[in-house]
Amino acid sequence: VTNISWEATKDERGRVCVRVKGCPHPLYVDGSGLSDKDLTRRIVGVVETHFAQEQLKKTKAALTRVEGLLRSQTEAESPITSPPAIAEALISMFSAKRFSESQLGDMQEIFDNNVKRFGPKRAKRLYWYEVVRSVGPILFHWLKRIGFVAILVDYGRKKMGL
Amino acid sequence: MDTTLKQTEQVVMLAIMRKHPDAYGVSIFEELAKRLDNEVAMATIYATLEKLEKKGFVKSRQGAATAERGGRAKMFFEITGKGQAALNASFKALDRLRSGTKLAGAMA
Repeated sequence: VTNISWEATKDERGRVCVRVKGCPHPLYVDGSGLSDKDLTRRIVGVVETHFAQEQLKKTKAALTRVEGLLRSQTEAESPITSPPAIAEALISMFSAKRFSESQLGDMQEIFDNNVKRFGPKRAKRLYWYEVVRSVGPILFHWLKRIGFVAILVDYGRKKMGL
Repeated sequence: MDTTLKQTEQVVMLAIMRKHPDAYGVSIFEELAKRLDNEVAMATIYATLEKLEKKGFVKSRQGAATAERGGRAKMFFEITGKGQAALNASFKALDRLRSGTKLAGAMA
């Protein structure tokens, strides 16, 4: 209160009107039946409360501004991303149907952890790496099988003289 | 029905036992990466789990779907009694084979 300048006057109704510097609206204090000392004490109390409330409002507004800034900064640094759609399609195509959903969920969980740890770019790269590691052996197996079938067909055609 | 266990099947079963009752894809994947110092592909883990389930060594149950996983449910795995017996038998067979052999650099 020592740093706040204020001025008290009695209005026509007998109420004490307190004008605090920097505050557009006057504060009214009921001073009836109070000695000058008690009235001063009450005025100081009202001014202090008013000042504390104003400070609280200002702090809250400042905190909201900082929070907004931080949120926009975080979003700019690590935008919400999802795993590459083509990679997900490949996994669901080549994995066992029964476990396809849970496997995709697991891959998403690992992807989200990687986004937090390394950022979206590297997380996507790691996701693709995992897909290649997963799909590669299955494709190789398929190609081997196709090769074996081709040999069988060729053998059959030779035997039949086609 | 094939009751033998390959090494991948053994390690996946051991990881399930270690992570019980929270053994699902990610926890098995992380356990294997941590204990084996080698990342096993998720597809390999699921292919192995599928084989083990067909053999009756592992049983699965579906958990609740969560938003963090894109609304996809977890699949939890558990070793069956038959699975434990098979794992035990495979380790005993390995022990029988190992006994009397001396490996250079082995601790015991």
